[in-house]
Amino acid sequence: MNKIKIIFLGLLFLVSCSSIKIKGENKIIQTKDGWKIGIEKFEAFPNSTKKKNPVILCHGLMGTKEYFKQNDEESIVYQLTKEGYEVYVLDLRGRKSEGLNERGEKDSSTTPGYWFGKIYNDYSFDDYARYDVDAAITYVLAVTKAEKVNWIGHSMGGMVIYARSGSMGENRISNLVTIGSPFSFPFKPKKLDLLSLLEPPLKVLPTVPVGSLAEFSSWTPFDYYYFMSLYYYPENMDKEQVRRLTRFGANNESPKVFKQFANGMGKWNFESEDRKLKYTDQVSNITIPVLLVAGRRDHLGSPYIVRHVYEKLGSKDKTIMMISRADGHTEDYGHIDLVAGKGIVKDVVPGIISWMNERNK
Amino acid sequence: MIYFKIKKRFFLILLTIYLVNCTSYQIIKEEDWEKNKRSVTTKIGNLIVRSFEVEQSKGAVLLFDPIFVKKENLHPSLNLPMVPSDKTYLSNYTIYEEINYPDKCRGVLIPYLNKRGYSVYLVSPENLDNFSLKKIGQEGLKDVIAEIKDENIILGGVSLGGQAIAYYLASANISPKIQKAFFMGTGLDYKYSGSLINQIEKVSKKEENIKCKISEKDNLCNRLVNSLAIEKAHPRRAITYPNMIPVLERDPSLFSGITNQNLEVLVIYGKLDSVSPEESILGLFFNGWGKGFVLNYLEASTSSNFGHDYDHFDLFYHKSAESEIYSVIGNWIGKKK
Repeated sequence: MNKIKIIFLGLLFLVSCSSIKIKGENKIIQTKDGWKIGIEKFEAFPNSTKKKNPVILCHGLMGTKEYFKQNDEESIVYQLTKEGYEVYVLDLRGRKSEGLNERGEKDSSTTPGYWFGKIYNDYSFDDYARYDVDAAITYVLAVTKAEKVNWIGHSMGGMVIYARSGSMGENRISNLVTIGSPFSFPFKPKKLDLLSLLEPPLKVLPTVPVGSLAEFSSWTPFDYYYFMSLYYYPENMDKEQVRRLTRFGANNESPKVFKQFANGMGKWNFESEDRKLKYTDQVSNITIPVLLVAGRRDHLGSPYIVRHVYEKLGSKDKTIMMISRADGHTEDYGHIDLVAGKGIVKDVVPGIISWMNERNK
Repeated sequence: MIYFKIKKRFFLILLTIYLVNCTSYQIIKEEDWEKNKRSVTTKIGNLIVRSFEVEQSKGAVLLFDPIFVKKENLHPSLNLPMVPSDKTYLSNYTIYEEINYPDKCRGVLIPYLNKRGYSVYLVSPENLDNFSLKKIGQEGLKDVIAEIKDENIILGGVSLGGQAIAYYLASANISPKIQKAFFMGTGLDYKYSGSLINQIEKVSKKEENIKCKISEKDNLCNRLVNSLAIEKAHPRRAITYPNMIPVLERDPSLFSGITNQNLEVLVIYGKLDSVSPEESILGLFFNGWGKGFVLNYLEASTSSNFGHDYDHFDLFYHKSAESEIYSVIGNWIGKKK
């Protein structure tokens, strides 16, 4: 009996260790095509100097808004609010937060199902850019009464703005920060060939079960280093951070989104689902200030791809910020550790805040 | 007793294998062109060509001096100054002069290529007066190439010296003998904010000789020399930086002619290379290439299933370079275009 108690307490301890402490005010907003998506509001610190425009943070492929917060006081969310920004952390459609209502209670009518349910993971990257981004900006401008928003996107969270601002005429964003965001995939890392293993099951499964697998992995004693090293540099993430990332920060993804990315492999252009829009070429239409953050060890938003976007942008005010030892940082950064790594408050966030402050006076 | 004898024999066999392996490049005939009065003189002065020929060569590989890299790491015999008249040349150009990996049997590029059946020609400037990668590439190399008898020549740009090869390849009339070229750690487009050129400029304004210790975190040499393996092995070693850094090309459009050649190119870059980072290498190809041009690439990193992410010097020094990188070069050279 005692053993059971110890095991129970041990599990309780592990669960409590892996909870994210900072919490904002959750809202569910509706997109023009009827999806309900989650957004979490964080007020600026009361004693801080309030900044001009609010910030929307957007996660990447297979991710959720949780990884922006998982370092608690060492997170980019906390640091931005401390600096005086009102922050809204967005969950794109199909995320776990949509399974909850505003009171945080379970709402099965808005949870995407595998085979059964009202909604499924049957959307494309274009839907993220066209509907979810629009809904988020509309909502934030309405509640803050600001004229424009600052957008900070990690990985695909930056790509959606490259697509929306470059190809869909979005003009409500004042400043854009992309972190490890590629926008073409001319040279595919060999390890990504592993993803081809997903092709047969995806013909049967209505979703890419990455979030489910990641959550399962968080309860196992293995580190899955071979595959995970594509996503982050292990030196920059301690075990607890990896546990939080896999438990809260990963999400199932739509097969259509995956297919769209797969179609872009080996090409200098990332295209719309129907392949009519050459998104990458059209980033030349973007003229707002852009900060492109790149990690030297990033294998997904590789520095050369970030530079490729940089060269194509139409903005006069554009800057690449390389996070690497050669540039004076404590470590070379990978893909996810750029936003969820243990050293970001020292290496990544100050540069972003400094750049933002210059443009939010 | 019998066990001991077997063990002893086994040990001797292993030792023999080890020695044979370590000394296998002794069969290489090294011919100094200068000794045989075959030195190549160009309009900008003399170029020194060291040849490492093999009999019944499958082809020739012409390498241009890698500038930053200790020559011993291209061939063991190159541990003495190549240019007796200019004793400062190698000592000033040697970065890791006190640092050697414990593995004395590590692979080095030239013997590796020799073993694969290729003659290798290493071209260096005779002295550093008016040294210009541009002039060498645009004017000097064609004479060297004309001297090489092989009908199949592969050009190899290693480290920053590869820019001389790039100048040559970008020129209008390259020799029909050139079918392939590879670049290993050669930056071809430094026209962006924060590039190596920018960083060198910032430092060189402050001091001429850049000398530092690895333990001093915030200086250029430590930031550029990113090898974690070396840092862990030699945390307190001083590194002497060259007091003459070659003038690197600022205008990448001067190299854009390469992509219109009828040529197959292999670019190799280390993921952690800060001297010639990936964005400075692949930037040349952002605008596409001509029909006759074939681009191959190798990212020396864990995402290519390598043991670690390579930095600039790892490409030449790391004990895994032979198995992970030179093997790719060897296989690629051997394939028909």
